[in-house]
Parts: sequence; C-alpha cells; structure tokens
Amino acid sequence: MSRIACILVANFSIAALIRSDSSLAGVALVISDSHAAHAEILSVSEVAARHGVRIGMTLAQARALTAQLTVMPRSEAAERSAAEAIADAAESVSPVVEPGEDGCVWLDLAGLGRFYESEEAIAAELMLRVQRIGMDAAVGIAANREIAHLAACCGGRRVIPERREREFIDWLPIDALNLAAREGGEELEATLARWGLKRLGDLARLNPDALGSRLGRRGIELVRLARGESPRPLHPRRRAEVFTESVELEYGIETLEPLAFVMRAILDRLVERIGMRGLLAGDLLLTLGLTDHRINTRRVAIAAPTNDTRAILTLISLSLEAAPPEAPADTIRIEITPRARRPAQVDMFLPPAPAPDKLETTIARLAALCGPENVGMLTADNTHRPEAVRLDAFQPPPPCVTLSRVEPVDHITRLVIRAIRPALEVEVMSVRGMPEFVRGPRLGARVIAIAGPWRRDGEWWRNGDGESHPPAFCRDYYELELDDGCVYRAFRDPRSDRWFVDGVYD
Amino acid sequence: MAAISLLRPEGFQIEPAQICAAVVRGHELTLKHRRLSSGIAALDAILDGGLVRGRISEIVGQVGSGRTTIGARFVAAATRAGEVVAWIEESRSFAPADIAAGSANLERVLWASVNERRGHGFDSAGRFRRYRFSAVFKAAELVLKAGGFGLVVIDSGVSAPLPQNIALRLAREAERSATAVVVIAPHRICGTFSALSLKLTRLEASFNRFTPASPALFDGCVIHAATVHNKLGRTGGSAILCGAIDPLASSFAEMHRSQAGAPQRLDASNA
Repeated sequence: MSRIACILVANFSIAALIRSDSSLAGVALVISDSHAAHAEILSVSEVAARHGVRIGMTLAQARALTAQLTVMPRSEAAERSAAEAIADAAESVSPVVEPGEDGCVWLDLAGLGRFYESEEAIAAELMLRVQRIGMDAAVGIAANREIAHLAACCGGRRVIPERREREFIDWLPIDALNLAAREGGEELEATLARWGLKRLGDLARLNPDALGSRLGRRGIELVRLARGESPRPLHPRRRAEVFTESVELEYGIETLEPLAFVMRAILDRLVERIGMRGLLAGDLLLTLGLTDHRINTRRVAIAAPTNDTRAILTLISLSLEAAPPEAPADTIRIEITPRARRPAQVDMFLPPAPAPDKLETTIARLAALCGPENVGMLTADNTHRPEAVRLDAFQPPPPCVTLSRVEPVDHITRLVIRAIRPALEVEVMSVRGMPEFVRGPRLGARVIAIAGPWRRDGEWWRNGDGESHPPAFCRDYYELELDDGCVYRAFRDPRSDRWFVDGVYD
Repeated sequence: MAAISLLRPEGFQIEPAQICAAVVRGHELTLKHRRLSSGIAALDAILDGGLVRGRISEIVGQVGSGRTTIGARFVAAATRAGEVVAWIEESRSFAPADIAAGSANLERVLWASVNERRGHGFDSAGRFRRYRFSAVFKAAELVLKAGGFGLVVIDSGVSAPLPQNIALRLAREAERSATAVVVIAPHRICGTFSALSLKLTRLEASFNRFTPASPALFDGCVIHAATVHNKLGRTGGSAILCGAIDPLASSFAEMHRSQAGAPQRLDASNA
C-alpha cells in the first residue's frame, strides 16, 4: 500500500512574499491588486489577522482596524521561486514528487522506511527542510494524495495510519474540501448545507450514483473524495537541473552595494536549496530586468563548484563592476546550474590532502580575488612555443599508494626559468650578427656571454586567423648573459627582425 | 610489527621511532618536526634536514640568483611525495614546462596569480602596488585556511618589509595548518616571523662549446646558498649548488664538484 506525504504551506502568497523579503515577517501584511482605498484584500498575514483584518475587506476598512498596514501586490516571481523551493525540499527526501498549486507538494514515501524511524520522523524532517528554505509548512501523511492533503490542511504534522483513513475523514467538516475556491463551489456548498450534510462522513455514506444523478460528475468526485478513494496516482516531475530564484523590486536599484545586498539573500536561498540536494553551485546566469524594459543577462563562471555565498557574490560583483548594467535593475533572476560533489577517500598512510569541499571553496575565493583566469592547474600546452600554457581546473589526484620520491642528488638541480609574460620587446645592438647590447623597458646591459642561436619553428599549418589560431612561428633563440647579473632567454623573429626577452634563468 | 608491515603500503618507509610508537597516521607525515627535504644533500645539510613545516621560510636573492630553481626543487620534492602544493605569485612568471622537467607533478600544484589588471582602478602607482602586495598574501592565507597543503610558495616581487599584521596572520595560519610556507623575495620581508632565511647568490654562469667553431651552450649557473637566519637550527651554513639546464649531463656537475660538497661556514661578507 502506497504512502503519500503532502507538504502544504498555508497562506502561500503571503509566505512567498515574506520569504523573498524577510523584513516583512513581523508586519501586518495584506495582498491587494491596488493601493486604492476601495481595493479588495486578497490575502492576509497572521499579524494582520490578529488585528481583525479579513480577506474580502477593502483597504479602507483594514486601515481603520490597524494603521500600520503594509500593502503589497501579489508577486508571481516570489511564488514561483517558493513553489520550486518546496518541491526541491521534497525532492531532497524522496525522488517521486508532484508539485501542486498554492504551496502544495506531494511526495511518495515508498522505500523511505529504511532511512527514517517512523512516518512521524519523515513528517518532522519535511517540516524542518521547508523551514530551512524560509517557510513554515504543515505535513500530512496518508494512503493517497487527497487524504494526505486533507491531513495537511489540519495544520502541524499529521500521520493517518493505514486502514484508519475513514476514521479521520468522517469527522472532518465539508469546509475542509474548500469547495468555495472552485468554480460553482459556493452553490454546491449551499446545496450540501441545505441537505443537512456537515461532515465528510455524511457525504461518504451517500450512494455515489444517486448523488451523481443530482449533482453530476462533481457529485461522484465528492463522494470518492469523502471516502478517501484516490482517482489517480502521483505524476512525478522531472528532477530540477537548474535552480532559479527571482525577485521583483518595487523600485530600480542603480548602485552595486544595495544590489549585492538583495542578491546575497537570493544566493542564500539558492545555496540552501542546492545544499539540500547534496550538490554544489556551478556556473550561474544572472538576468537583470532594467527599468527601461531592457534585459541584462550575464553568465558568471564559477571556477570550482562551491556553496560559499560570499565567494559567489564576489564573483557576481566583479562581473557587474567590469560591465555595469545600462540602467537601474528592478528585477533580479539568478539561475544556477548545480554540480555534483567530488567523492574523496582518504588514506591513513598517505599525506593529507585538502578536503574537496574546502578546496573548492578556496579555489572559488581565489578566483574571486585573482580572477577565474588566474587560478587553477597551469601546465605547458602541447606545442613547441615555449610560452604556451594551458590552465585547467585544479583537481589533484589522490596520493598514490606507492610514494615515489625525487632522486636525492648531491648538489645539482635543474635550472628553472622565470617567465616574462608577455615577452618583452627589446632593442638589441649586434656586431657581425651577434648581440652586443640589450636595451628595453627595465632592461639595459652589455652582453657578456651568448649561447645560440637555436631555431624553433612550427605550427605552419595554422592559417593565423586570430587569437585562437596564431600564425606559424619561427624564432632564433639565444641565452644571453648580461652584465646586470642575469642570464636571459631571448629570441629574434627573423621575419620581422624584432627581438624579445621571454624569460630569465632564476 | 606484523600488523604494521601488512598495513603499510609497499615502498613507503616508516621511521623506526614511529614503528615503535604506533601505526603512522597520514596526518603525522606533515607534522612540524618532519621537515620538507629538498632532495639536494648539500642544501638539506645547511637547512638541518629541510624546510620547517608550520613556519615561514624565506628564499631571498636577486632575480637570477636561483631562488625560483630552489623553490621549484621543494615543489618537486613535495609533489613527488604525494603532497599538494600551492604556488602563488604576482607576476605570472611560473614556467610549467621547466618546473615539470624538474620532477614536479603539476597535477598537485595549485597555481594562482594576482591579477594585475584589477589594480587599474587605483589612481597612483603607489596605491596600485600596495593593493597587489596584500592580495598575494591574502591569497596565501586563503590557501592555508583550507588546510591539507604540504607547501605554499609565495613568489613576491616586493622588497619592502611585510606589514606586521599580514606577516602575523600568515605565520599563524602556517602554524595552524602545519604547512611549510616559502616566501621568495629579493630581500627578507617577513622579519621575525620567518623561521628560516636562505640567501642565494649567483656565482657564475657556465657556457661552453664542443668545438671552437660550434655555437656555445648554456650549461647552467653556480649558486651560493647561505642560511642567514635560522630560529630552529644553526645559522651560517653555506653550500655551493649547481643549477643545470640538463642535470644529467655530467660535465657541468663534475666541473663544479670540487667547489660543492660539504657544507661550509658562512663568511662575514656573505652574511
């Protein structure tokens, strides 16, 4: 027998708004389409409700009850983000999740008995996870989605044991079905009240065919619902491959600091969602809706996946500093592509290596400090150009079991060059073709000794159509000892007869 | 003993003192009393076995004195022993081909270079310089905070003394993570916060040719290394080292063998 859990966030529109702006948490908040005095209130926060404000009142009536009323329009972006967040929280517990409407999510609990002591523990865990993403939820667990939803509507956490669903349903009032929210629901509710039906148990005892002949298809559905018979199984959604959060602002932000402040809260929420799935944040797409109705989109590369909000925010700030948007931003949308954590197995006998998560965070911070193009594993490129290097992601292999040590030597080691990037163009005065004096930026000395020339050429197959395809090279290399005390590696391009210094032996 | 021989990987040598104590744990391999050897006998002799872990060591000398060569040698020794190394610099002077040719395993070397371009927002050269100056040490501090690195090499071009707060933070993080920190600079910049200072001087560059008509070859440099400051050992030892383009070519090494060999006492002029 299947077991279904339902996560329900009551007063979803208000909860989504408070989630997107935590400063609204303690205020008397109402949702209305307009700020006009006659505008109707669509949703009421708990604080406003304590002051006596009810759905359906006008704003003027509500303001008569409390002067400190905050009126906000409904935010589709906040609701969409909140709904996705709830689904993510559910997905972090079970792989089979069906998102519903208005903050309702169902999940299949099949197989979870091995991970949790009881269904109460699962319900508690679900409530905790929804709390982590910034909302309070009720959780109901029952044999099918309808009864689980009814159990969640009762608030808190409620587990309906197997084969005791009727006991639970029989005493529930018909109002629990929230018929008024459906089309023609008020009329149906009035009809049932006229027949003297107050509880679902009364409805369940009726003959569905007889009710169907009077109320049509809706009547049959009602009886099935009241009997706890589920018309359909769960339709699981595909697991999210990107995580998105959006915020609509009341006014445009034109400076970086307030924008970073808003983005920090968005990133905190995203990172929490990603972390719950056991993943790390990878590359992100930042979309800013500007006040002049243009869209500014940018991709921010994350060198090493991390869940460190500060590091990610620094990378975004660097991107915005480098290319600021053309107008103030009034909509922010961040889309993060998650990446899996790298598994690590430590060995007791081998030297310790940095913990993968700490290493990734550190690389992300270094990338924020130095720029992503300046952090990683620098290796020589597969070419004969001495200056060609390739930067790869730094992913150190685990220490090998058989440790190989550098062969001990008496007093000799390999001389290493200190590269000069880019190569320094210098003026070389030659006598009979041999360099005599070198002059250039930060360099000017007589040549004491010369080794070379050694010709290096290659890549003649390249057509030289730009940065990615540099032209074929041909260079005559020299090692020049100058009287400033250094030995430089210099080369002459025979085609242009220009001299360059690209390194010093150090 | 039998259990130890079963557990320990083949080829990994455990010191007798550790065998008597217990099975050696991985993290004990980077304990402070275990020094990071360079693998050059003459250099290790004047360093009392190698670089001290958990402390700052300085390799000082002018450009061309062989400081990058000695730094790369320590990188090679650490990476070949399975440790992870960070090389942080501010001038993009890291030459991977040469350093890999010196037996370093670049897969274990995290390279970071402070982006010079990011300083362009500053209005004067002095402010720009200060910014880069702190950034390279900030990067090193981040790496040390991550833990697990066996060696962090900071290749700094500055010759002014490091501000005390930066040096103190660096020393504290090195101590906490038990990582050997090497600062390559023209002069001593860490002051009292460094445990060891190795001063390098290039004595000569060696060129030769097979025949009078053939082009000359650059063999390498002869380097004088001296410990000018050593808190944890003796100060004043010196050695002659050879930095060779091709260490396997025997002629250059043989030529300078007479100058090298046993560590010498430092004379006053070198100090």
